[in-house]
Amino acid sequence: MASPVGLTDFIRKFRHFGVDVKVKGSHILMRKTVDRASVLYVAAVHGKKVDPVYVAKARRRFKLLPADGVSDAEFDSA
Amino acid sequence: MPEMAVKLLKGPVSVAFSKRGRFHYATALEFDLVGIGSSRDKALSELQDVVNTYLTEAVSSDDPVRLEFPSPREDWLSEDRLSFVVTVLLVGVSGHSSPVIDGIDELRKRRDSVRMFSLLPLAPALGGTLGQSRWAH
Repeated sequence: MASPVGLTDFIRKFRHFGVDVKVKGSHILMRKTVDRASVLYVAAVHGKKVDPVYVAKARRRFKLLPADGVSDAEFDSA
Repeated sequence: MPEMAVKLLKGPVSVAFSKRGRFHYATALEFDLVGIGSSRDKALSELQDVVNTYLTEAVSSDDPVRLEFPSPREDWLSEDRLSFVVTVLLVGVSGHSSPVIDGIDELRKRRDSVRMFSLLPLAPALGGTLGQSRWAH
């Protein structure tokens, strides 16, 4: 099972791939235009950590998976 | 005091529950949104907040938002699932108008009235009234 990701790392990785990320209270608001449509995602923060389920689902939402051309290594090193 | 009304949004939401390690997960399958908690109730409570933030942002957006984003197939296979309806609290809107709002675009036209979205357990008798998923904007 993957480990939680630090909030700062989480924000940096998604911003690197053009996702607009804002923290509002205990929620992370994410937005990007994908395939000419505005796409949103909301993740929850727990003690400055982000559960890996949110990383996986946000990568899927914003087309940042290996199937979309972004390898795990490329995402992890961002 | 301004007039307030609670309306139903058309389209039920299915929530799947799972447990991984110490944590419970509640996933709104039509939106692929997740709440996490140390108990099933806490996971559902967090999911309620996440869905409220998600729909509030979508209503506030100047651009149309793609709301419906179904979870992967494996999430839908969960046997531990419950159906909910989404309600929205509006201010300055007559409670005598239609009790059901047809879509998020209708709400975007009166975004200043929107105060809060909630998930309520779906009574079986309402299922036919609300119909199938209608979350595509």
